[in-house]
Amino acid sequence: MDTLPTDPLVAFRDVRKIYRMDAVQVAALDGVSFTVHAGELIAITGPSGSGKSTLMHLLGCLDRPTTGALMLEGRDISRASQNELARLRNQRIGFVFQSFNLLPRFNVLQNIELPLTYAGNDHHTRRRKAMAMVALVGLTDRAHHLPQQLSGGQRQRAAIARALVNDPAIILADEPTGNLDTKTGEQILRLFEELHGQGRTILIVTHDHDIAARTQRRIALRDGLIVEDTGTARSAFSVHRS
Amino acid sequence: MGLLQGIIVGFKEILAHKLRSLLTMLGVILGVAALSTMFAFVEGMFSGWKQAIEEQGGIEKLSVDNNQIPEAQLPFQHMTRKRRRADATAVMLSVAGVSAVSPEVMLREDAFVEYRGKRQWCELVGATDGIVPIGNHVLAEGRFISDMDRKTGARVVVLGSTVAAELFGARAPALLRRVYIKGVPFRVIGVMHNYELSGMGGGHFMQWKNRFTFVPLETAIKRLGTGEDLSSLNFEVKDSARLAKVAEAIRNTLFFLNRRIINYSVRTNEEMLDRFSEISGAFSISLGIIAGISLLVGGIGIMNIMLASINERIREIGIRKAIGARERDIMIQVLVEAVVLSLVGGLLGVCMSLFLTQTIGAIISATFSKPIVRVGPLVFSFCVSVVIGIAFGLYPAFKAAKLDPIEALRYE
Repeated sequence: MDTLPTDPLVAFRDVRKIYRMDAVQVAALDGVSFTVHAGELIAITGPSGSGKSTLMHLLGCLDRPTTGALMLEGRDISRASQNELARLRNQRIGFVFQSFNLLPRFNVLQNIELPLTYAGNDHHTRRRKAMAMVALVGLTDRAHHLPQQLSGGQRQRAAIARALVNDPAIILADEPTGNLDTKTGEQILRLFEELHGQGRTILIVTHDHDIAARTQRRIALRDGLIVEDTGTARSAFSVHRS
Repeated sequence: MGLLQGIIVGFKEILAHKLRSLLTMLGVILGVAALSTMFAFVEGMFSGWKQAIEEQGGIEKLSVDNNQIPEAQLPFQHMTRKRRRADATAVMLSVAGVSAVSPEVMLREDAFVEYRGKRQWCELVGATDGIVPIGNHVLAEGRFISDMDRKTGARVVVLGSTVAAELFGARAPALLRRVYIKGVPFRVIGVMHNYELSGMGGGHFMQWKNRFTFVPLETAIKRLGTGEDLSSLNFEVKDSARLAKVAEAIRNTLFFLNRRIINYSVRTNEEMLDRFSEISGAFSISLGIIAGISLLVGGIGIMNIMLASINERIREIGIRKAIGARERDIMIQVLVEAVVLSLVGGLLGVCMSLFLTQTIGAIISATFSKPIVRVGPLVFSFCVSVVIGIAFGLYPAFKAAKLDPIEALRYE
């Protein structure tokens, strides 16, 4: 069915995520299908409770769908074990959070090294790769500072460096500018655009329409369903259910 | 994540919360200190006892004690007598395997040695030369009582070191001086070994020996009016394997000589040693239980603090999981922290134990035997602390590892 020359990086096929609270079942995602191709910059929007967080968690391998298939690089992760999910999060996913989520007692360099540590790199490799990332996000002179000694924008840069350090297939950013002032937020957005320009695949979850307007593709969610997918030539092939 | 890095992170965690870590470790510190100090004390106590028995002639010694006669024999009480020299002679003649004998009489009243108006109280014993090996007495200078002294009823005396020092002065010569006991003149022919005063309390635990003063057995009976009855009768059996048989043979001889009236008992130091072993075993167990409880409390403290610590770090655990930590990684991290806590606690406990044994040992050496520190028990106590760390770290580690990353990331 997929007639594209390249396989999609991510494919959601009728994905449902149902949470059970006592007797009540809540469908956070109620049959979502779309694909993401390498190199896309996508904004995922929607009001709170629309299912965008759940989508993010599934895509980030933090959780598994209740039904449906979730393909990451051609592999169905809905049946993957906890250890495999951990490995995928480590190797293929880069998380960027609204509240940065740096470890407070670790300096910038140590924070960036952490995914490399879990990947089993030795000390020298970690240092070398982490320093390269620090340079990429322009924090070289802050490498040995603790997060609390940095400004919000610098913290988010450190977090982005940490997300990039294992060369992931996809970067998931959850409201990355939510805790930043407009000017700093703009700088972070430019960094994302720059990374996109280098061929990175980036998904930004946001309710900021200005941000959404700048991405090449926008997926809007409501009540666990995709209500809008501005699509690209490629994403036109994804199936909509509405 | 490597183990080494885990340990480094564990140490950082401890240093980040110094007071909390110290309080947490306190249980383990006290537990380990109690455990290894207890080992040292029991060890010292036991060796002290052994030495004490050694000083009393060791396990080769057989003693005949005076006992109450059994109730069934009470009608014959008027026929009884105490042990006399003849009994000693009879045993020497009839029982094989006895290598030395020591019949002794004690001067119960007016046991003073006088010299130029000075009086010194002493433990005055009428003895034979057999008392030297059997009682483990050591002569410092001069000579001891000889057979000739006994045969002639010579008025010669071997003074206890304290007695001699008090009468003549610490460094003054004592030999050949004339002293009086109950008005009878005696010539000093020897002075016994001085058990040095030592330790902060002043005094050696064998110090009681310093006042033992000896005169020939016959002289004591004839001149000092101690009476014929022996105050104690001891034998030495070199071949300790035959100890039980010799004791039985002595019992039989005395049974015959004493008209089958059993107002005596034959006892070996071996029994005493066994009793000491039992006591030290009981000590070890009860102190071990106390140390064990203290370690348990320490372990619970560690568990408590680890639970509190992972509760504080739910978000951190969520972040770590999000960037690729497996359950195993989180588990190892928490476990390593618990073990590092107990490890450092264990080390501090060992140090504290060394300090305690040194200090208390110095204070009590006067009245008691010094604690003996051995490497084995120290290593054992230390290992126990590590095991405690692992055992009580497991549950928090498991709990942390099983945290749902999504919930953990949401946690404020």
